[in-house]
Amino acid sequence: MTSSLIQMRGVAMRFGGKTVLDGLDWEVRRGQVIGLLGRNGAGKSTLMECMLGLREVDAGAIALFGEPLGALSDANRARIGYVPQKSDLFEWMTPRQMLAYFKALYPRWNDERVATLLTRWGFDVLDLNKPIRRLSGGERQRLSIIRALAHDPALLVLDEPVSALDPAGRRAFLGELIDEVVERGTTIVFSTHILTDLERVALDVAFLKDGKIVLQGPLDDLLEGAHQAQGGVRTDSLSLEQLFLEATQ
Amino acid sequence: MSRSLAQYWLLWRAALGFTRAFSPRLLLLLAVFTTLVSTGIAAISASSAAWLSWALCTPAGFLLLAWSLGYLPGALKLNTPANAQLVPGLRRRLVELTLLVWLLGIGVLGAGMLVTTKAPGPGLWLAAFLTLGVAGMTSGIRIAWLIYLPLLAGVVLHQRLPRPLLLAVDGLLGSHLALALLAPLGALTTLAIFPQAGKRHWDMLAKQAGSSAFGARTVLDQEPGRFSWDGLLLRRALAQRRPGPLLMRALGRSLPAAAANGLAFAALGIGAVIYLAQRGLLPGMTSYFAQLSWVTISGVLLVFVFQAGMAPAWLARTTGEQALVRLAPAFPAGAAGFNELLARAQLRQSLTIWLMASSAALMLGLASGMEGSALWQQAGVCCMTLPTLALALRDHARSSVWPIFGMWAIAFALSYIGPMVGIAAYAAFGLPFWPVALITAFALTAVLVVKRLRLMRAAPIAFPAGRLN
Amino acid sequence: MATLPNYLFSITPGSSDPIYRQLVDQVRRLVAAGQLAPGETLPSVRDVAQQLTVNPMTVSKVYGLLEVEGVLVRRRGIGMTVAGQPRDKHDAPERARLLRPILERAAREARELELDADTVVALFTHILKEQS
Repeated sequence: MTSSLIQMRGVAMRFGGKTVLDGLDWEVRRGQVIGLLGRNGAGKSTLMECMLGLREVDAGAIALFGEPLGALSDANRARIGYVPQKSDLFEWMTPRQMLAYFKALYPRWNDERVATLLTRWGFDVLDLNKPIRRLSGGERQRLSIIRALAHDPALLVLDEPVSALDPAGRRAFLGELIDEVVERGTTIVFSTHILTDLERVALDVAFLKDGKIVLQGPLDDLLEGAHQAQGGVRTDSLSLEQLFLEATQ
Repeated sequence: MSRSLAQYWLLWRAALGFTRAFSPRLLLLLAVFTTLVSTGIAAISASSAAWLSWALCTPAGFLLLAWSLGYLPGALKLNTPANAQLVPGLRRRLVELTLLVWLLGIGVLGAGMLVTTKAPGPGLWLAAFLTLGVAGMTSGIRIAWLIYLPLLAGVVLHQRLPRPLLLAVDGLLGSHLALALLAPLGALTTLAIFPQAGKRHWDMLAKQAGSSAFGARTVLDQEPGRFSWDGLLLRRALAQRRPGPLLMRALGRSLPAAAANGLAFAALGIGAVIYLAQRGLLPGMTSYFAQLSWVTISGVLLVFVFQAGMAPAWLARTTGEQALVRLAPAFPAGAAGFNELLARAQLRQSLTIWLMASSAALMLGLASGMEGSALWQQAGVCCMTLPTLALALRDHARSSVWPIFGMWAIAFALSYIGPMVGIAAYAAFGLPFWPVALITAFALTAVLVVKRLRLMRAAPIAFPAGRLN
Repeated sequence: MATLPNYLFSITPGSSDPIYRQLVDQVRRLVAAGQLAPGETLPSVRDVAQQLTVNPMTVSKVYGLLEVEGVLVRRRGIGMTVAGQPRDKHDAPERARLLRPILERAAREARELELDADTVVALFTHILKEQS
């Protein structure tokens, strides 16, 4: 039983005449919390979609839970939670209806957790019976996260999950992720532009540039190992922001 | 002068660009084609000046159609509070453009009518009030429905008035004074639908967001009431856990429920028309249609045909939802299994709507006093629309979405193949019309459905739709 | 088993110090200053992780490093406790060593501001006198 949860080898993808992924190799091991960083338009969302099999790749092999994407068993599909970038999905349903809908689609569903999260993250009865179209952007995003966490996934893939949340909301979300890691050892892959969040929660980072993962490794090591030579003066470590700018130049 | 024209053209194009379902090129083609056909027919069959009348009225009609359904929703989107307040001259230009195009349309329409009659009759007022009413409703003005009142009054009361009063009213409607009122009326409405920021503007925007503009979304995006069929059907689907209905719920609100809604309205409207016609209360052309009640009743089938043509566009709206649903273990992971499930569910849904529409048509027929062979003919007409069932089956992953008017045109064309073959067979070989038409329709349906099912089974997995084009 | 108040630790993400390093330095300083007495139990990895909203692996890395250094001691059934070294065992050079990172940073800034050593030392002495 291989310990790598996600394995991508030589993945290439062209989209509209542009090469988005170019011979990309990537491996994510069980239990890792890895942040995916890249400039706007680098293809982070596309990478995540290809990884989950939502987009066809032109070349390369992708395996999840040790099984090739095309032959993923239902049990393993049930262990994947995905929060897409667009959070205004199922606009015509109410949150209650939407959660009930997904409950019918997944074999395991943690009602208690859903109820706790809904109360803790500020959804009252009125909100639950309003169509999602009428909720604010932050509420929709929180709902999207709850939906992904509700079936106790072993692999969480999050595409800019907190872009619309205020600092309190982000803190609460990060706290929830940490609970995931502590209680269940979930593997988490997420992309975000908020580097401070990443620093708290992610142990590893991967930088996506020119269609490849150009740099990957434990965050602490990368920050300390990269030395800047500035006019002869050595600073002892970079901030994540500096590392990001350098790696994705 | 040319600068203003350039700005008008820019605004026109920008506004049209907002309504994706509306293809201006297609409409232009259709307008030219219809004008030529109607002018030709008028030139051949009617009196000397009639062709000019048609040549003027048809393009004017299409212009007003484009104005109210294609341009106006986009123009309303352009007139955001920020734009209206801060961009110099934008609102003014929009108001001017809207009014000018409307006046042009109404003017040419009136001129066309003047060719054959001494004074443009109530038809002009009908067009004016109808377009202004649509404009008001689309923009979300609360009292816009008032505009429809004179229309309704005119239609209902027109024949009931005593003759001298009727003549007087007709004369009044045709008089220059009344015509002169059209311009201020248009101006008032245009100014009202383009507010300049402020509370009224935001209220209108809220109302617009609640009920979308014309297109596949109108009936289907209404907020659910306390008791909604949609909610009930959803609960039932969740309780039964059959994958087919569950899959369809990812695409939007329940189409059969919405179709039932639409059918109810259509049936009421058509029923009212027939009722009034049979009592001799409708003026002019409308009564002609009412006599041929089976044609009118078949209008109910439009609900089915529109839904069938809309299927590709319907799927293209929910790509995000489709991605999530594709990951769910309740649905088959393999392409063939998934597509088969989707195809069957769509066919089942479409067939349900067809049954609902056909039953509504037959019931209307019964209610309006049809019997025997007329009812069978009505059923036959319903069967003619069956081939459109196949429109929902396609390679969703790869195919791009055609503009919705194009799809509706195709749906209509498919419905007419049966009758055309029937007519051809009758004209050429003297074969009876109905059996040939029916057999053609059934055969075409079977062939198309089987072929497209095979296509879907071999195609890549359908969700998310359109990702491979 | 005494547990320490939650505001004991704080981190600044986004600085050029990795979070684990900030925590390690903090614990060292607290122990050297006597705020963490020998024998006191530190909060569990999980508690610290949840309170600071950081990955628990980071916290366990911090505790692990400090254990190797000898600052902390893992006691079976109790958790991580401060190593039993009485305060006066920390001699001045040892404590001064702990101050070095901050002083190095101050020196870097002084160099950037092109201040000479005497001015800086005078300023620092003044501040120390001010605050005592």
